[in-house]
Amino acid sequence: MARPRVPPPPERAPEALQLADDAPSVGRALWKAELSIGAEVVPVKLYTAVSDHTVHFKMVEKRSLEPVRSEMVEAGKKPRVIPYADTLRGFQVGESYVVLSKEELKELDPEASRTIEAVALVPADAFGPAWLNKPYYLGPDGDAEGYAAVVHTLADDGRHALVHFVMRGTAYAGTLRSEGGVLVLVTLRHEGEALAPGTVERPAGSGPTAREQALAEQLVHAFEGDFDPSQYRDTYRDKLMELIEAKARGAAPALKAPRKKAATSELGDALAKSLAQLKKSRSAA
Amino acid sequence: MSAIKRARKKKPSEALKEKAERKPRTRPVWSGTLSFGLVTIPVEMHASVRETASSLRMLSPEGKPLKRRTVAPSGKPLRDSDIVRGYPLEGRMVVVSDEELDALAPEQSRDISLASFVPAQQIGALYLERPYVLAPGSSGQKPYFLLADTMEKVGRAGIATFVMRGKQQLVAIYAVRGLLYAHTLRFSDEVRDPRGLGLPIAEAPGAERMKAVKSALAGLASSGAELTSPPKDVYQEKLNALVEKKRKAHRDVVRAPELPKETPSHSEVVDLIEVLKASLKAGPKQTTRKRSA
Repeated sequence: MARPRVPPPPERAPEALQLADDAPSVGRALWKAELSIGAEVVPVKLYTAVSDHTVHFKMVEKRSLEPVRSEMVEAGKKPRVIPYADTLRGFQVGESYVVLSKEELKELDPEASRTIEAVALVPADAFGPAWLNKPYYLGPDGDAEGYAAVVHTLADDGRHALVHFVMRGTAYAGTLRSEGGVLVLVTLRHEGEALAPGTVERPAGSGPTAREQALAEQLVHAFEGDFDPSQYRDTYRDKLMELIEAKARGAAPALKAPRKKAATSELGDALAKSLAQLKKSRSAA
Repeated sequence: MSAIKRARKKKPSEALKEKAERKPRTRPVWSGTLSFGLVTIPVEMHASVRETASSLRMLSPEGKPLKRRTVAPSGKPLRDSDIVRGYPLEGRMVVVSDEELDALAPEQSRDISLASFVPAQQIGALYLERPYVLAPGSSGQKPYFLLADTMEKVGRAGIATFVMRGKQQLVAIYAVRGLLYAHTLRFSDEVRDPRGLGLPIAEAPGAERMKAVKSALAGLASSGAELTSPPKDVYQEKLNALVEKKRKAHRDVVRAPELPKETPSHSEVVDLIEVLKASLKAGPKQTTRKRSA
């Protein structure tokens, strides 16, 4: 079944890694493995490509401000707490459960391995953004020449290698590509885990008028730009930390509640006004 | 063929699918407006990815289904209203409420204001975080369709920042087949720089090695493996097979005393599709419930 595809990436020069000046450097390697492409084997180290800057909270009890915990209880009038070690696992089928022991489940686990095996070459647009999960970098581990050879051949080819590997007890599929002299590995979600864009199609029916379409296009063109991630800063995170520090000192700032914007009623007018406003502000600049 | 007297025993995957078909459960993770210029479009954002909930239920040693319960350190069971969000700072626990989180950036908590339209392909894979789909809100179908058509036609994605669940998100909004999708993006200080690893490697590889790797890659290409769909979940398939084998042999099958309210389901994507289709029906938005057969 042909799946609709998101427009393919244009040939972004393999030199571009698109990093910001303040990008944090990679930490320690997560894992050591061997990248295997046919008979060629290159030892590599795997690093996470992401740095999490989220402000993390703890869930605490209101009264005591102590962190909460969770436990498993048997439903019923007098709920019984079952220690985690004593729990079984069941798969629901109809109105029954098929019980599985820990040993049975362990047998399903994939065999441990230190190989990242390339199994196919796929076009760069084979998978849309919905399927990409976690990005990693592969770095060389002793065989710089082999690593460089893979970087160059993949860059020349332009396709991505589809790879399979088992890391920390979980089997993964991923795409491997060459970017800016570095091998980038992105794990993939499984079929059925994500909604692929284009799966649902909008029903045909009354849409915008020709005038509205023309105006909208003009407006979109007026805001055309290139993607430059360094333009954007997470200012909210800073404000949140300021709030937390202020509260710790006992200063509670006044709050402004968010208000929902009203939906546009006269679309054509809204478009025309937007364009007019934009022209005015640009000519004044 | 007739299923009247003796119902055919269901396979695990069928059972899950049937359960999903009972009613769409997907609630939006965020609702607000999408705006560009003076055009404001009410939207509901749904996660495109199901949480990796296990298909397995935890049971007591007697085979009774268990529920997860949140308790205080003392062991006292807690209700939602007893639980708050705290940040540990210098030995203190600072509580932050939902209202306070919203109020930090009030405009951005309810509106995604598109400021720039970029070629979708310029967004590198390292920046892609999480995918979502936008359903039109209750009163704004025409502007929604207009924006979707326009962005699809010019092949561009709208970039904006907004606040969801107490976190600021950089987001790309794009259109495929008349529907709007969102993909949250990482901020540039969240993508690591690998160049300290001695990369890129300055010395060019020798001709011999290049030849060997090239031919290995060619071998891969000629293997004929064409991939048009994401990988199957092999673990889940093995699990389904084991369950089916045991069920047929009546091994370790216990009757569920009550059907639990919240059973993890593999069919959240199916639910999501139904919700989308319902919200796309022409005219004022209505929630359709699937009629039971």
